[in-house]
Amino acid sequence: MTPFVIYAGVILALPFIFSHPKTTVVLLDNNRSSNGVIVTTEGGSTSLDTPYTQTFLTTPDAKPEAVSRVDATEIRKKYAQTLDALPQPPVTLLFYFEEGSVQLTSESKSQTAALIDLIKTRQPCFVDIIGHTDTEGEAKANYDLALKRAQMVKSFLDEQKVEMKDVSVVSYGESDPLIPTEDGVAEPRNRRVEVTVR
Amino acid sequence: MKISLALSIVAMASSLWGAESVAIVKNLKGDVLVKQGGDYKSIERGSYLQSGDILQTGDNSSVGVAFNDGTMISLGPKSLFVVSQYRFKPSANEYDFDMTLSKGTAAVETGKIGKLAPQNVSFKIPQGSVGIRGTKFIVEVEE
Repeated sequence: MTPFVIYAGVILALPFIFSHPKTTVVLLDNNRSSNGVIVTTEGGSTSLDTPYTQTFLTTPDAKPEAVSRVDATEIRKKYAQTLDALPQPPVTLLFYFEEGSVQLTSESKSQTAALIDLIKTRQPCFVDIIGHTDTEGEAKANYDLALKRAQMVKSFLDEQKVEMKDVSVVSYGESDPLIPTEDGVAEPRNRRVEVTVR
Repeated sequence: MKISLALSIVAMASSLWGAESVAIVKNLKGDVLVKQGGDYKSIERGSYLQSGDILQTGDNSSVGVAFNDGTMISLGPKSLFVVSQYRFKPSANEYDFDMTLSKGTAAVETGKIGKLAPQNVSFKIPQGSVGIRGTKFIVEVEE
């Protein structure tokens, strides 16, 4: 009985006496082209550029260990509790308008239901509404028109009574075109409101 | 005297900073505590976080947080995470994201700060730091 207790004690104490805390860094797949981390200690740096590669760190003065590949399914399983808690990234939807007006195009009108659904699945959420115009007409008038477009979307969401933590309404006027043009150009793709649900 | 004055100015400045919410709790499971200035208190879905907050998760607990710039961070069980400094002010071109994972597991998906000012993002771990370049990654700090 006694030897067993002593043996168990030694085993339990091992991590505290002999080993340093170890840190693992794994690069995941973000479905975008720019993806990478640089892991740095006083001992040096290692970069991870390929999804599902990892490095380990032992002490602050040791260089991060050599990069190794990991199995995506295994990582998914090992860190399931953490990954399941990761919120989904924000989604931005674009709504287009008729020339010089706060009327949605008929195509955009049919997409408003998708916006409501998105907000409902992202609770609790914030909504950012940014209004834009094309470059036709005066910049000041375009600022006002873009603001009216954004406010129109806000009123629509208010009418639908969807729950939102906060809503921001901003006008970028003609200053942030999706399709860059000369001044004074009517461009349907620039007459838009961007709605980001986060 | 001088020191206590300096400290009280720092305390005032940080309480002014702290008044602003920088993130919202999106997902939560089990016991999750936040230290906001004074003592630890439990948080829930929809709670706001401030710059300077410390998050702690219990056994079989996890939390997922969405920051104002779109950065998403989740913590697994038995984690300790500090939002040391957070500033996202695109109109003033001011970006700062300084965080520390002292123990446990964190998954990170970077947002606009990581894109606009990656040099101002600092993710610290006990042995060093992770530099960020438009990225999704996971970190586990073992004790």
